[in-house]
Order: sequence, then C-alpha cells, then structure tokens
Amino acid sequence: MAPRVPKQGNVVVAGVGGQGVVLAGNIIADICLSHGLDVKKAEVHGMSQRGGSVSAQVRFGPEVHNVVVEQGSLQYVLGFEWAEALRWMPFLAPDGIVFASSERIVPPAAQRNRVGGDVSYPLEFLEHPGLRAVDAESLAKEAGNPKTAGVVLLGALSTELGFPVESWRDALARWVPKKALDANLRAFELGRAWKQAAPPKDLRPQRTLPAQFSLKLEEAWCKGCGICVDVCPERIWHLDDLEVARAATPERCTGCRLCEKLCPDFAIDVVQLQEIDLLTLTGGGA
Amino acid sequence: MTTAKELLRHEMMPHILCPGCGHGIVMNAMLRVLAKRHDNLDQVALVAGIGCSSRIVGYVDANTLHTTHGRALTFATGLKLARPELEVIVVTGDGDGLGIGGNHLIHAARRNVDLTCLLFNNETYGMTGGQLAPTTVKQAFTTTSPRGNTEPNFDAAALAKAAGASFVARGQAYRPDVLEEVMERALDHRGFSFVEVMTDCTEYFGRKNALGQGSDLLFTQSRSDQDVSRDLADWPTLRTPQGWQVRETQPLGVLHENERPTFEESLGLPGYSKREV
Repeated sequence: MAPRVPKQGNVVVAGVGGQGVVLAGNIIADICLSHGLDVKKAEVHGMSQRGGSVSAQVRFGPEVHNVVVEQGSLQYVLGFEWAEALRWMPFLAPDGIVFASSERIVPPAAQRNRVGGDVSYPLEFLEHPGLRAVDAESLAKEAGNPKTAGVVLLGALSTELGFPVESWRDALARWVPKKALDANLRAFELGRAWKQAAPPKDLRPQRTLPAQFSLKLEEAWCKGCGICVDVCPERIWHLDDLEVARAATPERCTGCRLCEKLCPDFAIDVVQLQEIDLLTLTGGGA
Repeated sequence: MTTAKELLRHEMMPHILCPGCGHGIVMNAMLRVLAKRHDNLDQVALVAGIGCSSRIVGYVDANTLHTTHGRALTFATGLKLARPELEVIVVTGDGDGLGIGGNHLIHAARRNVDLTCLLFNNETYGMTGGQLAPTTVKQAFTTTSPRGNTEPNFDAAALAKAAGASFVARGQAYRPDVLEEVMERALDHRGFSFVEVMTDCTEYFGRKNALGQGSDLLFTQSRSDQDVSRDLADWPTLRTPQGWQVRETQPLGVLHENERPTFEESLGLPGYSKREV
C-alpha cells in the first residue's frame, strides 16, 4: 500500500555544526516541492561551525505563509544530537514524534566543567511517548560511512512521513555527493528498517572525574557578607534565605582558595582531597 | 601543617567584626603567615591598642595584650625589652596608631625597636561611630565631615619611613597574596617593620561614601578613579571634577628596607640573639 502524501506538516532538524543539518532540511524541502507543496524553510546557523547548535525548520502545505514553527504544533523532530533534540521538546505537538540520535557531542563550553564535574546528559525525555531513540552512529558505520548518520534518521523519518520511498531516493541522489551516494542509500535503507528495539545506548558519561577539593563551611561563623559569592570564578557559592553561604556546585571547585583567603570570618575551608594528574585522567597525556 | 583556623580561640568565634569587614581578611592573611612559620604561637606576642583592628588579637591563640588607646607600641617596646626571644607583633588601626598614638609610632620607628607593626588603615574611626580619622582622604564623608573632608590625610607609610623605620611596606585586603608576602618579609626583617594595610569599614566608610558593602566595597580597592566616582553621583556638588582619590593609586608592596642597629642592639641587651635560635 502506497503511503498517503501528507497535505501539510512541519519538520525540524536539529543538530550541531558539521552534521549536515542544513542539507537534511534541504532534502526534506526538495521532496515536498517535488510533490507540488508550498514549502518555507528557516535555518539557524552561522556562528556555530563545528560543535555549535544548528537547526533547520521546514513547513509545508498547500500554501505556507510563515517560516517559523509555532510552539506546541511541531510534528517531527530529527535530532542529530541528543541534547539538540531536547531543545525542541517545548515546540512538539502532543502527538509529535522525535527521532533522536543517541550520539552525544559535548559542546566545548561544557567541557570546561572538567574537574569533578560529570557532564550529565538530559535523560528526562526518555519517558516521552513520541521519542524514537536511534543509534544512528552505529547504523551509519554499518552503512560504510559514519557521516551518513543524518540519512539514517531521514530513513527512519520516511517511515512516518508519507512520501513515496522513490521520492526520498531521488532527492538523496540530487543532494548528496555522487561518490557517497551508495553509502547514503544504504544508510537510508538501514534507517527505514530501524525498529525501536534496543533501548538507547548508555547515555551516562563514561567516566566521572573524582572531586579534588572539598569545601567546608563553619555555618555559625558566616555573616553573609557575600564576598565568597562574588569572588568565586566558578560561581560555586550563593547565599540562602538566612544569608548563609552555601556551595551549590562544590564539585566545580578548582582550588584557587580565593573564598578561603577573602572570607573575613574564617568560615570557609578549602580542603584538598587528593593530588590528581589531570592529563592522565582526561586522556590528554601519552 | 598548622592551619590558620587552628590558631584561633574557637570559644571566642565568631568575631565581632561587621559582615564583610576588611579587618577579617587581613587577620586571615596574618594567621596564614603565622601558621606557616609556627606550630603554635607560644613564642609570639600580639599587642594591640583600642579599636576594631585591635580587637582581633582577642581571637588569636597567642600571647596577647590588649592595651590602652594608642599605646600598643609602648607596651610592645617594654615587652620586647623584657622578653627579647618573643616575636612581637603590634596590631593597630589608623586612628589608634596615627591619631591618638601617632607620637609613639614615630618614636618606635626612630628607635628601630625589633617589632612588626601592622597598621590597619580603614580611613575612619570605625568602632566609635565613623568619625574623621587622620587617614581619611579629602572629600570623603564621615559622621564628623558631613560635607566632605577638607583636610589632607596622612601617608602612613611615608611617615614611618621618614621617622626611621627600617622596613616599610603596604598591602591591601583585596590582594591577600601580596599581603601575605609583605607580612612574611616584615616578620623576617630585623628592626622596626611597618606594614600599612588598606582595609575597609563597610558600616561607616563604605556606607557614608556610597561605595557599597561587602564585596562591592572590597572591589573598590581595585577600581579606577572613574568607576568609583560614578558611585558618588548622589553628591554631585561635592565631587571634584577629578573624581575620587582612590586607594589603588597608592603604591603597594615593600616600599623601603634598610639595615641599621636595632634598639636592643644599641642598648647591648643580653639575650637578644635568642630570637635567632
């Protein structure tokens, strides 16, 4: 049974720079155009380069006036990266569907929380009924080219978005480089054949760095002057309702001891727990 | 290694200083320096006069002497002559050391008594209610200069140097590392070591001059003239076009150091060399 061509709809492709988000948006728009639909497309890119957030919105129908998808009306999200998919959850319609790659790309800014911090990935939307977590990375490698992970997701989307499979293949042939077409078509088929079988691969960080410093507070001595709050370069301290300093994120302490030295009330102790060779832990050394 | 906290009299804490008071930071730095040098403070004597800064000796687990207003240096001179093996540190404030006790300061410097004098300069009489002190800069507002100070202020470090101190330095509460280094060198020096430390009075100097409290006031020690004078916009008629004479403009670090015979050596006092052991 040939799938029915949708009358109207919208898709958001979300990922990071270098993943082919804009290309995937173009392919979807091209398919819609080839079926005589009006299409508007909007992209957010530019300063992202590699690793930054990129998204492409595609709206199609008999006549489209606005390029931007309204909150609560988004039908499909293609998340090329786990957290980037999560960003679009507020836009999702109640029956919307998210195809999210379980690949994790930690942005450079977040990698600065290096010591003791765990770069934790949001897992709360695993419970969402519309979530389809695809291990696109492994499937793309199976197809012969890890860069085709996006096309794996397009293949998965093609099972939901009712355009004939030939239109998808034609559009792929028009848009992807010729030498990579075979790998892309294989990836597309793997994506189409994908079933929600195995749970997404473990999204927890592979290794948690141990905390180097422990912050001790003599609560009764703290007078709430707020000097520690303002001098901490990692913004660890804050004042609670009683104007007593609290360490909100003690695991981020890098041990500069500014809070300890500038506390007029001797309330803060920065205690070194252990000497850590950061190079060996982060794999930066030989 | 001993920590600064272990040198406190814990039954006395928390101390009486106001929230965000710079004196606490200087005390913190002083105790860190002492903790580096001593396991306990049995061979250290802290002598203080009257005032907020002088109160801090009561919280330190050393031999402490809380004396009369302005006379800390005279008590300390007597103590040093009687017990030359002690490391004697005088903790005094700007009102205590330069106002009431100004005479004692210049003569202790002239004699070159082997003491270390820490002068906490918060530019006001904090304990008695924020009156004009000899170190209050021009145009500053205090309870006794509601239209702004018209008198020039003392440069305590220059005064001590002129009086004959063989080691003169200046530190800041805002830069505890510099302060620690300066204090260490002052303690090492043989002779009268004078360290002026710029601190903050949040309740009076900070409030009266709209410099903010706590960290805001502390950070004014690093601000440029323009940034600080912007905070004085409430008194536009009293502000000079040049803005505000900021504490940052004063040089920091070791300002003067020379070697000359100390008071004890001139007296030929027996037992003086014990300190070297």
